[in-house]
Amino acid sequence: MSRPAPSSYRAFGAAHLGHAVPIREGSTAGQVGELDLVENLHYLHTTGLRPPVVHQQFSTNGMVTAASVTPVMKAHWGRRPFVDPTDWQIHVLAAMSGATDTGKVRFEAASNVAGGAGGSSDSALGVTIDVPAGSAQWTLVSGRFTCDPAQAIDWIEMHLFCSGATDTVRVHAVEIHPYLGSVAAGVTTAGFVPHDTLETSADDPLSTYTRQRMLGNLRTLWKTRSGSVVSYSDDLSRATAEIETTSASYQLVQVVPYRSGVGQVSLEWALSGHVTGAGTGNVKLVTSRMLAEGTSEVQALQNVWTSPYTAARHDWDDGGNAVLPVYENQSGHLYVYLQSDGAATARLHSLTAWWKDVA
Amino acid sequence: MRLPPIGFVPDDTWTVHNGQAAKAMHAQEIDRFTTWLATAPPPCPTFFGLWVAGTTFELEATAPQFVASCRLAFFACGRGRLDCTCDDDGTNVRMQVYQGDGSVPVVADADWWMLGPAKLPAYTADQDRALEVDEASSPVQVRLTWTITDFDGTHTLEVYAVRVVWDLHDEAAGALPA
Repeated sequence: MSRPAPSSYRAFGAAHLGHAVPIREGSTAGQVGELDLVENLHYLHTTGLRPPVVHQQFSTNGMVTAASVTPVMKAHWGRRPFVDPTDWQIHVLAAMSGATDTGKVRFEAASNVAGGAGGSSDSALGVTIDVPAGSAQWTLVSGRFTCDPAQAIDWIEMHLFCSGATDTVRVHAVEIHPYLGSVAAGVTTAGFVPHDTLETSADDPLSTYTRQRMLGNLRTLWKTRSGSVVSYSDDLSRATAEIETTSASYQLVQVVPYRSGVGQVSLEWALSGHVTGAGTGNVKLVTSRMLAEGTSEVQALQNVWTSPYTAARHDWDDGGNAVLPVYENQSGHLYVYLQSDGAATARLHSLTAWWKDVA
Repeated sequence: MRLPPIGFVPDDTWTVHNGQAAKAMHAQEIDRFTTWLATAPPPCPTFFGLWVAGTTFELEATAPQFVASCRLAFFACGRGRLDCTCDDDGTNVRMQVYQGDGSVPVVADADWWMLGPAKLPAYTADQDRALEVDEASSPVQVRLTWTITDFDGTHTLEVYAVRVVWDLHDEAAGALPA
């Protein structure tokens, strides 16, 4: 008895499943059957559908850096966790400036409130990835930490520090995607019902329920594993921002192309930013559909920009905000505008947007 | 299925009824749905920044199963060229960008520029084409790089956003790999 989770997809000809072909157990060389359908389904559940939520290369000097033994939050990305995957899998391209200290790249979830220096903590919802002393640019290091799928929105924070004060840790690029290592028994939160190898055998009757369950599982995967449209974080500790304006009229600062799929009709989003001094400023988000319909989503920015940046974080789930509607199964663009009051500087420090689960 | 099911549309309405030919329509529908999910991977999210000439930029990316090539897309303004590589591809690719007059690049004048479609081997250097990825039935890690070269001292190129576009299995190459 087992719930297989193969590491690859097995493509086979439709003739194996044709009319009048006997039911086979399958999953053996030269024979295709019910277990192959199950294994491909489980492969998608665990490995095949892991859309990246963060995919970024830092542009200013090609890196973000830290030379302190105290953690400093250098980047953050807001995202609704996936329902079924248990972890965030992280890949980092990093380097050390010298051969003395070990670099530390710590990722953690903001929803875990245990606090530490610079907003960093040693909570369970986080992982510290070592960058070995003397690592050349760019060395791939990886890690993984548990996510909290109960959160409607969570912020993944990246903190940098070193084992000593001699060398500098440098981070060039980050990729984060959901992770699920095995097929657990029982119905998942999303409604995925695992299959067991004992459920089908050669020449045994095949229940309608088994087929219904396979279809139900495929629909669950289709609806709950949607990808992201944009994932951006500036170096949060810089004095300025890559995206900023002093203009009193809205300035178009980015245009993000997207392609919605079947059933995808809205984007959820999160951003952080602030306005200098006591000034006022806004971020405006407009999709192609909103442009056609004459609507927009405007988020007023606050004047506070202090780690852990809680007051500067906003999302679709805040009071007064909403998801961004898009046309289903269409190409379009997300237009990002920034506005100040003409005197202060409005800064956009991070922006993420992802497909809302299909209803 | 041995090929991606072009035109497949998932929905909630299809129902398995007792008495239907279970081994034909049902199983093939499940196989079609499964293969559609496996060959329609979600996109890589776009990321912002301000990239200029002088540095080689690198990106680690997990290519989903059955990705045969990838194209980098740049939201750029100015004049210059972009040279890109992938560690699965032995030859570099090159794209010339001519967006605005290039004397003062600004984001308001920027537009998206994307590498051209995949070409059949044998490749030569500096073609404007997609970068090859070793297609497999499981995810593949690739390392992508790009560098910016200004047209000249007075005509420069700036990049404001980047995205990776995965190109799926080319049917001309035959069945999906095992």
